Amino acid sequence: MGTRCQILISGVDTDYAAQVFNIIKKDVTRLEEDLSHFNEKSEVSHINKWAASRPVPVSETIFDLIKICRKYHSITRGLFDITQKPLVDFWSNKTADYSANGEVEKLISTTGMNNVVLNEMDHTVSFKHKKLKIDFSGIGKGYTLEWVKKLLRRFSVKNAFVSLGESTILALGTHPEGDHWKISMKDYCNPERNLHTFLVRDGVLSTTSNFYSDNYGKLHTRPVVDPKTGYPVSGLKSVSVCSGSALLVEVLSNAFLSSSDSYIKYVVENVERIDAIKTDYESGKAEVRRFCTEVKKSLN
Amino acid sequence: MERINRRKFIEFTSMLAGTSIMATHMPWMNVFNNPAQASSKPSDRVRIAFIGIGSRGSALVENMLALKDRMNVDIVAVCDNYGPHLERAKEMTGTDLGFYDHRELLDRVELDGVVIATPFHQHVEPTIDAMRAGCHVYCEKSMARHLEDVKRMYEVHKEENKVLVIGHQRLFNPVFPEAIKLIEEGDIGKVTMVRGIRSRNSEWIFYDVPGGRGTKLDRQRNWRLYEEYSGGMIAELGSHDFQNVNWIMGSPPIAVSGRGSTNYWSSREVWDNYSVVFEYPGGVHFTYDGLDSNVHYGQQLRVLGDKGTLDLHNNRRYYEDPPTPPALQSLMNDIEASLFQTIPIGGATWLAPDAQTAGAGKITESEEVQTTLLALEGFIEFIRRGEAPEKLLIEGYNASIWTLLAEEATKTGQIVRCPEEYII
Repeated sequence: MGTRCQILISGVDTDYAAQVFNIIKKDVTRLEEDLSHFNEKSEVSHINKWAASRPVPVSETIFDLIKICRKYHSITRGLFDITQKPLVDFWSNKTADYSANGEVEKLISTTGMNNVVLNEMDHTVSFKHKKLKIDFSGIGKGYTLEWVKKLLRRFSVKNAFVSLGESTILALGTHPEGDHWKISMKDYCNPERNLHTFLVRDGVLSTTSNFYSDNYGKLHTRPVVDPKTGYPVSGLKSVSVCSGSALLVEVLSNAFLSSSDSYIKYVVENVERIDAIKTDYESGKAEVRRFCTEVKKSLN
Repeated sequence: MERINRRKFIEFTSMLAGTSIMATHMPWMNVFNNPAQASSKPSDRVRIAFIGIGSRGSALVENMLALKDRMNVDIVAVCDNYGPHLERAKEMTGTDLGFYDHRELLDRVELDGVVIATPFHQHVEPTIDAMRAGCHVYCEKSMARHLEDVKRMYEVHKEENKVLVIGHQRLFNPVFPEAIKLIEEGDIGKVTMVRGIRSRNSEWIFYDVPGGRGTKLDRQRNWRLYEEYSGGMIAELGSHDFQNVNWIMGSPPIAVSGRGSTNYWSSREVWDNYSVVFEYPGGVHFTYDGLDSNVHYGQQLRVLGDKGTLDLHNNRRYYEDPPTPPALQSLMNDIEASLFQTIPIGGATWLAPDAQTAGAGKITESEEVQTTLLALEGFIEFIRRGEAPEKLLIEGYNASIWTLLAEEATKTGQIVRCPEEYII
């Protein structure tokens, strides 16, 4: 996580919106404190520090989230994997043409959800390998937005736009002037151009890429590791996935970044209400491939 | 890792080359832009000796050894008045020339430079003797235990025209020059306050000594705990931060006040907690505290302005009013104008993944450098040139003077100003 959360609430009284906002802010802050590995005092940081040497008792939130991650790890055939952090850290310090000399293979053997042990009896987590670390950055925003969605509904807010760093967006209900929200993905190489417009109602849009630009428009790359090979995804790539479930879209946008097109097609054909685009900037301009079931079109 | 970081650092210094910021605030960093062309010939070799090779001295030796081939530098002799340290240093460096007395070292060995890492109450004599003997000197902070000795070291440097570098933790850390650049450019607006903390939770015993506290051997080995030899945390840790803030503010303080006590580690003579407030020109205050019984807040140094904050300790900057992402701004504008338009998401436009708080970004991308290595590399370069920017020594001088004045303030409870004779 470690990102900016922005909330736009429409259709309710300003004071009431402010009250709802403050309740959400409190809960999002709590989730950030629990889930973010950027926070040295977070629960996940505590787990990463100790779970290789002893079973670590964890909160219900974390325990359930790890179970969810295990489920998605299985569903995505290992493409979504919260244990990739050692590989990400490794590649963060290397250039793309670095010759790994067997180091990657050694690290791969330490990763994988099979190395994470959950004990239902005492709600503990332990790691089978001392180098293993977990990282919720591929699901934390989705988990948070699911929570925000529940809160908004509990407080009878029907229409809201919630952005977590613009990488995961909840579009609840509709735009005040329309019957859905229109969210367009801009072309990184040509910001005036829209790559695709998602028409979203009560849905979530998640974008994952191996690059990002900061507040000042500066491009940064970040390694996204293909769990199958242990090597980073090459070039500049971006995946956006839209669906009704915040958890699902964030998991899939991560998994699709390193997967083949045929796998994306397979998922889209077998899971309802998914609209996705994968953009490749390798040639210097955006090459977009869209994956969407014909029946549902792009309206979620 | 080291190579990549060094490369980034050189890129950083070359970017600043020729700028007024480089010339005014950090001229010593320019040394990396035009390194002397040292051959690998023995005749071009820089001959270095180490005086004081305890815990910090050993770390400096290791760093100097890493420069051996690249900089054509040789540690030809070592000196320590404690036998086991001397033997360990001889083993580390491979030299047979080991001395208990620095004067004998300076008499008998031909040297270009000396690195001094003795306890700081023992800095003054070897530093002055080395410069008088024709050596350039790298001496770890803080310069000396007494104001008059600090001044004397400075004066001998002037008289002998020898390089005197005072080693501080972050003089070669790119976070600081980049922060200075941001401040000069008005990035955080008007600087109104600086806040700092150094906290630990340890007894600060470096060596277990038979008989414990108060013995002659303990006074020698765990000298940091004794007032005669050390200013405690103020001198050993605070001095680094005092230098940093002088550097950031572009000026030494006007005055300092403070208090300290020993409320936890009763066996030590120096404070285990203290707070000081430095006053800088323009009514800007630097509030700082040191604590040795709680480590929760660790080490922090923050520069606060009316438009933003620089967290120097972890390379972060924050804005009071962070820019609204175009998507949200666009959406709000549309709603106000009753328009149903698309909300443009600029690809990946989110914050850096390691930003911890809304509106945060990094001060610089070149943070992970080995500053001790760079400091010694700079020292060797200065030896080859026979000179170093005076600003570098003035940083060490002012930090040393104001460290001693801060200590005095905590003991007297008075507002302390710098005596005229110590202003340079």
